[in-house]
Parts: sequence; structure tokens; C-alpha cells
Amino acid sequence: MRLAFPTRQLTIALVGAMVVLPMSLLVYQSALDGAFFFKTSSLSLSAYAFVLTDAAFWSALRNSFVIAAAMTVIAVPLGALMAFLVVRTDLPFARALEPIILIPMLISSIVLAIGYVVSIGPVGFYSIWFREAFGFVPWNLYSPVTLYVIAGLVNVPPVFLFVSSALKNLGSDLEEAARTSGGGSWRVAFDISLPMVMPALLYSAGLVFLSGIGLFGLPLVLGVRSNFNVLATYLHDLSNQFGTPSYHLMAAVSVCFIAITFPLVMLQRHLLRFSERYVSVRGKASRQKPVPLGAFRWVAFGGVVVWLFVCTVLPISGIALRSVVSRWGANVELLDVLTAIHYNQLFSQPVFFRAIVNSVLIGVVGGAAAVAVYAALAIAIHRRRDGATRFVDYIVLVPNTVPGLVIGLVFLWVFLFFPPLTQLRSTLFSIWLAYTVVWLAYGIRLISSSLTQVGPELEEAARTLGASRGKALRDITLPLVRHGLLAAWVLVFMMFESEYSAGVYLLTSGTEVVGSLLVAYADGGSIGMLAALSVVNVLLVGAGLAVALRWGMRVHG
Amino acid sequence: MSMRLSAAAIAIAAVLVGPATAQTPDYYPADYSATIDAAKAEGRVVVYGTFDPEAFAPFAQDFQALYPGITVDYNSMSSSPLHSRVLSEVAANSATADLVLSSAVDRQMSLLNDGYALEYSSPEKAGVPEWAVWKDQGYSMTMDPIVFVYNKSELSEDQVPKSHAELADVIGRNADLYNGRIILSDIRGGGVNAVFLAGDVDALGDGLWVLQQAMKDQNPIVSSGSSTILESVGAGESVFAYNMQGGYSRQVAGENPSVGVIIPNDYALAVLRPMYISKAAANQNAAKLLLDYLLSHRAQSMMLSEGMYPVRADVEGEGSTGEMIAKLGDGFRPILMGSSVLETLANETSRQELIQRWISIFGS
Repeated sequence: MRLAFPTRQLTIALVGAMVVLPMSLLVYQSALDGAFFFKTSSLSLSAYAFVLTDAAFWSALRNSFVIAAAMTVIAVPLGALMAFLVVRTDLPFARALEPIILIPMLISSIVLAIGYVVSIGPVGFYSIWFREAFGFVPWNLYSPVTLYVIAGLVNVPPVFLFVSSALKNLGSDLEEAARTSGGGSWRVAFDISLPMVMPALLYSAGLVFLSGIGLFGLPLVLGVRSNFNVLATYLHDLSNQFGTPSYHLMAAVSVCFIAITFPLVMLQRHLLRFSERYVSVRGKASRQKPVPLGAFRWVAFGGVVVWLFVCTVLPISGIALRSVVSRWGANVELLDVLTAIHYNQLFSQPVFFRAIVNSVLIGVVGGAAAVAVYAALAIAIHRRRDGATRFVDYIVLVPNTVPGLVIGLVFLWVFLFFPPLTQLRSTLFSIWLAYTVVWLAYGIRLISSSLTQVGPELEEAARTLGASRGKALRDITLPLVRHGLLAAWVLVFMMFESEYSAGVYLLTSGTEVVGSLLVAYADGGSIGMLAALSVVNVLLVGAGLAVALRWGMRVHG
Repeated sequence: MSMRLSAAAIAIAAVLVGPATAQTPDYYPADYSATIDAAKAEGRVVVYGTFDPEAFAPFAQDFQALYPGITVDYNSMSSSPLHSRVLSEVAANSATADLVLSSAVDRQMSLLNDGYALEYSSPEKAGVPEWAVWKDQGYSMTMDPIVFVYNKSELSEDQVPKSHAELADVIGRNADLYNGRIILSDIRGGGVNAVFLAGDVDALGDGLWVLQQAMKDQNPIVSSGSSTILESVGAGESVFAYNMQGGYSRQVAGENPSVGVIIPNDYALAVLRPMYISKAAANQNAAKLLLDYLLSHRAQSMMLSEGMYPVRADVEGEGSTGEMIAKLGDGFRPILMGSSVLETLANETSRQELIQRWISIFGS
């Protein structure tokens, strides 16, 4: 009998180290009274004392919770509904809609916010047209309610991605059985399909909630008039309020963020404790039959189009317009101000091409490598109910929850002060590692939820016939979850391609990425070039996305 | 009009200014050639700066034309990451910048005060105002006057204050135009805004708070990020912005004719952009060459066409130091490195007092 290679333990240990190392540094820093690399710093709880007695912190926390809850309440039902409509019904143009629905994920939140300001801000061009036509404008972009609604709506795509991926793995047999027994389309949807994708729903709800807690770009730009302070803007202010960087304070706030994830994970684990119920890929073959919507078809389609208009057309038309005008707003004749200058300036810079190439490389190649890591970990915890699995469940969400401002710093410190890694600091590997750790939760959840849906009897059947665990995994399970793998790769590609904060301190000239260029233009006042770069980025990545999904479709059937 | 120098313009400038060889001016020390040789042996100079890449590119290219064999490795980053990187890398004895160029003057002062800079007496020191040099360690490359920005299509000339003294009056008289449409930088959002605030207190004393209250009475928007603010004024969403950096404002005004820039005529603060050579620099000699170059007449003259304000008094043109001094005399108040203004900010207590006072008016 061969001694099994401890792949499982190694994988978990390695990934555990990747998370625990930076996080312990963060926790250690929060327990000091100065930067950890200064000899003068000593252990102290003064950071926590400052933060926890700061009224601004508590109001920011309150606002963040409200935003997170609003986002979850809006995004999860809508995302699930759209996933169901696109994947399981005869919604018109479903195939074309699928990649288009993911577009908001390609746009960084600051760009999104600027797009909304240019399109529906007080002097935005839709506002101006509406006012000219009807004499008034019924919306106020800068009100808190608008912020909640927009934040919720633009978070529909990740929920859609998770739920649609899970739905694709569902055979129709259960639904058809329900319909044969007399259930109408909606009954089937609510009582059969939806519960079957509960893991995907709960995981994506958790992710949306946490990203709501850490929301930065939208409140920064849109929350401005209501003096809307959230945790991320509180942290941002904290980092600038004192003359010297107050890392201990920033770390203390970040630890509070992390503390929020633990009850969340506990809740998720509790709700999913009977995961056998969600198995749907069974030994029997089944085909997917779309649920007919009847007269409701075009109403549903209209609903999706409205969402698309609000979340895609509005901000993108805003940004696209900004990229081709020299100025905009009140008292401006659009036709008089059209210009190609922003694109000319953009294309004349070598750094632009470097940034695009680097970002795509990190997204495609780095993304694939990251998915391999995530898949290995997902498999390592698959169908196990032991301490190692519990450990992984709790740590995966942590890096993503730590605000961008801080996580980048922590990774810099890891690559500066941890001897085995110092040589790799200025390579693309360091940036890849930071990104992979930060997006761990997303990647693993997507693959895990697909794995959960594969019935154990399939693997067991293979094992009975003599296949090793590895072979059963490779030849039986993995092919059955290829949708999950592809969806994970697509998601990771999009996230990596637009990521910025995690690697910002590790960038050197030569490894610039689109995100860092966007920030440089934002800082330097070149909003026109920022807009032009965003448009190019969305087009490129959107094209890649469409290609990937079509290829995925072909693979499927 | 593009503010970026094209390659052709650089070439023309190089021809006009002088041959592209390492001919140093005659007031340079005799042993400067030793520095040049050592720099060429080093082969590169690593710069961390807050300018975006193509704003610095013309200078990098010109420097490389002057000193072939020395590559300029320019890394653009925001002032906060820049500060953190310098601190962390030096603490870890790891590769770091040779030359540090940041517009966050308070952060630079903190680094200078804590001894991160190499002491170096630049041969260009004589051509640069003495307030632009701090203890032979910090040298200012540019200065930025602090200006008012307004939207020309929304406000006419006489509806805009031309000085701090008349600001409260003008705004009060035209309240219907200003209400809800003044935009201010959030002091909490960026260190350099605190510098302007401290500079104003230094100039006006308690009179500043009267001015601030006058603006508060018109329900201003408090935003962060000069580009968002300039975008807002440029589009007519807001009509007036107080205490903006002159360089960015001029750049935006150049692209958008609706944007007007006012250098206040009673006094104008000016913020300096200190650069220093790191004590931990791996390429010290190359850094010295670059620092001297950036302070030279050649480089400083290029700055005007780049929308920057050169600090050398012998560079003439709109926006130059000489012109500002001529117009404003004592009203020209560059926030000197090591000045009492920066001391106020360096002291935790007085800094907090100042910020809290601002928050008591504008925060909520």
C-alpha cells in the first residue's frame, strides 16, 4: 500500500500560511503604539482605545452596516432572479445577455462613480436633457438613497455569476418532476430551483455584505454631499490625519473589519450544515430543459434591460462621453467640445501599453494559476468536516475584508521583512500572490459550490472500480464542475485585471497595471485620460470575456 | 492646448538651450566630473515621485540625453504610499528610491526631520531662492501658488473674489449664485490641505475663521481630491473652489475655457515640492546629477510649458517665482520648509487643534 502524499495537508498548510502570515503581522501591528519596524514602538492597546472611543468610527461603522445590508437585500434577490431567468428559462436573448450582465464588474468603482456623475449628476447630460424635456429632474445622484440603490444594483453581477454557475449544474429532473405534479413555473422556481442553489446564494450574500462594509469608491464620490462617512473613508482619513503614518490605528480598524467576518462565516456554516440536500448532479443522466415563461417572457426581458440600463448604459455612456469631450456640464454644447485628444495622449504613452499588457497577463495567466490554487484548496476541503476545513472556512474571507488601503501595505511588509520572499518583491510574482490571497474567498466559493453539487456516489462508483482518489477526482468530479472552474477563471480574470490596492506598494516601473494608471490620472487631474483608459479597458476585457464565455458554451454543449 | 511636451518640442528645447553633452556650467566645482563618472558607473537612478509618469517623462528624457548611460527609473505613486514605502524599505534595508520627489510637503518635512536625507550641497543652490533649500538636504523643485478656481460661465468677473479680504463680502452679496455651489477640500482627506489651512492661519490669524464661516453659510460641498473638485467646477456643478493648487488648476483651465484661476492679490500661499536624496540611496552620484539637473536653468525653463511653476528666480515667464514676487511682494508667502507653519503641523497637539477647529465648522 502506497503512503499517500500529504497533498491535502500541504495545500491547506500552504494556503493557510499565505493568509495567516500577513494577517498576524496586521494584528501584531495593531497591538503596538507605532510602526512595527521602529525600535521605539512597544506593545500597547492605545490604538484600540483611540478607535473604539472615536465617535466618527462608530458612525462610520453604522453607515457601513446600513449600506451593506441595503446592498445585500437588493443584490441577492435580483441577482438570483436574473440568474434563474437567464439560465433556466426561455428568456429572449439569454445567451447574449450573460456576458453583458457581468460588465459592471469590469469597471472600478471610482470610474463607475465618475460615470454616474457625468451622466446623471446635477449637470450630467441625461439630467440636462430630462430638464429640457420635462422642466425638472426627479433624481438626485448625491442623496444617500441613490447611493444605496446604485451600490445594490451594481453588485448584482457577482451574485448572478455564482447562482447561474450553480444553476447550470442542475439537471432538470427535479424541476420536471415538480411540474409533472402540477407546479407552475414560479412555484418550481421558488420551491425547487432556488433552494438547490442555497450555497451559492448564501456565499454570494456574504461576499456582497462584506464588500458593502468595505465600500470605498462609491461613497467617496457620491456620498460627498451628505457627508457620508463609511469605514473605508474613515480609514482613509485616519491615514492622512496625522503627520506620520499611524499604522497601528489603521491596523486596529482593519482588525475590527476582520472581526466582522467571523460571525458571518459562523452563520453561513450553520445555514449550510445539511449540504447533502444541495446535491443535484446524480448518477442518472438528465438534460436541462428551459422553463417556459409564457406571456411573462418579454416583461422579464424588459426588467433585465432596465437593470442593464441603470448599471451599464448610464455609467459607461457617462465615461465614454467624458473620454471624447474637452469639457462637459452646464452651458456646454456637446457637439462643440468633441475631441480625440485624451485618446491621442493615452496612446502616445508607453506606460499605457505596458499597463494593459501587464493587467491582461496577470488576469489571464495569473488568473489561471490562481484558479489552480483555489481548486486545489476547494478539493482539499471537499466533503470533509474536520478542523482543517473549519480553519479554511474562517480564514478565506479575511484578506478580502481587510480594506484595500491596508492590505497592500501588509503585503509590502511581508515581502520586505520575511526573508524567503524578499528576493521576489519586485517581480510580478509578488503582485500575483497578493491578488491570489485577496480573492481567495471568491475563487474558492465558486468552485466549492459546484463541487458540492456533485453527488458522492459518482466518485464512489469510480473508486469501487479501482480508481484512486486522485483519478476519480480528475476524471469524474472535475469535468462535472467545469462550469464552476470556468466561471471562477472568468471572475478571477476580471478581478485581477482591475485590482489595484493589493499590489500597489509592490509595483515598480515596468510592472504598472491599469488600476495604478487610473489612480495616477485621478490624482493628477487628468480625468479625460482616466475616462479614455477606462473605456479601452472595458472594451478589451469585455471582448475577452465574451470570447471566454462562448468558448465555455462550446465546451458545454 | 496640450500641456505635455512632445518629443519634437524637447528636441527643439535641447537645441536652443545647449548641446546635449555633459557640459556643466562653469560655476560647478572642478571635481564634478568625478561625480559624473561615478554616476555613469552606477548606471541608473531610481526616483519615487508624485507626478504622473508622462508629466515627468520630458525631464527624464532630457536628463538621459544629457547623461547617456544613466537610466532614469521613475516610479509614480500617490504621496501616502510613497511615504510608507520609503519608511518601510529603509527600515528593511531593502532597495529603495535614490531621489524622492513628493508634493506632500508635510510628509517630506517629516522624513527630512527624521534624518532620511543625504546632506549634499548642490552647485545649483546659488540659483535657487534660499527659502527653497532646507539644511542642504531638502531642495524644492517647483512651487505651487494656492489659488481660487471658479466657473467663468456661471460667475462673471465682479461676482468672484480677487482676494481673501473681499471673499466674505463678495460671496455674501451673491449668495444666490454661491449657495450650495462652493466646493472645498476636506482637511481630513489629505495632508496637504492641512498645510494650506495652517498657512492661512499664519497669514490671517483669527480672521481666517470669519472667512471660513462665510463659506460655511453657503452650504459648501466638502469633497476630497483636487481632480474631483476641478471636475466639478469645470462642469459647472460647483462655481467656486477655495485653496486649490495652482499647477493642476492651470492645467485644467488650459483644457477647459470655462475654468478661471485667480491668484489672490492680497496674499498667496505657495507650497513647495521638496525633493531629497535618500541616505540609503544605492546610486548616490546619479541622484546628485539628477537633483542638480532638476534645479538647473535648463530643466526649470521646461517646467513652465509643462504647467509647473519653477522655483528659480532667473526663469522668466507667466507663473514664475520672479513674476509672483513682482506682483505680490510680501504677499507672496511660500510655505518654507522648516517654517513655523510646518512646525504647527508637525506638533501633534497644535495640528489636532487646527483640524478639529475646521471640523467644528465643516464636519458633521
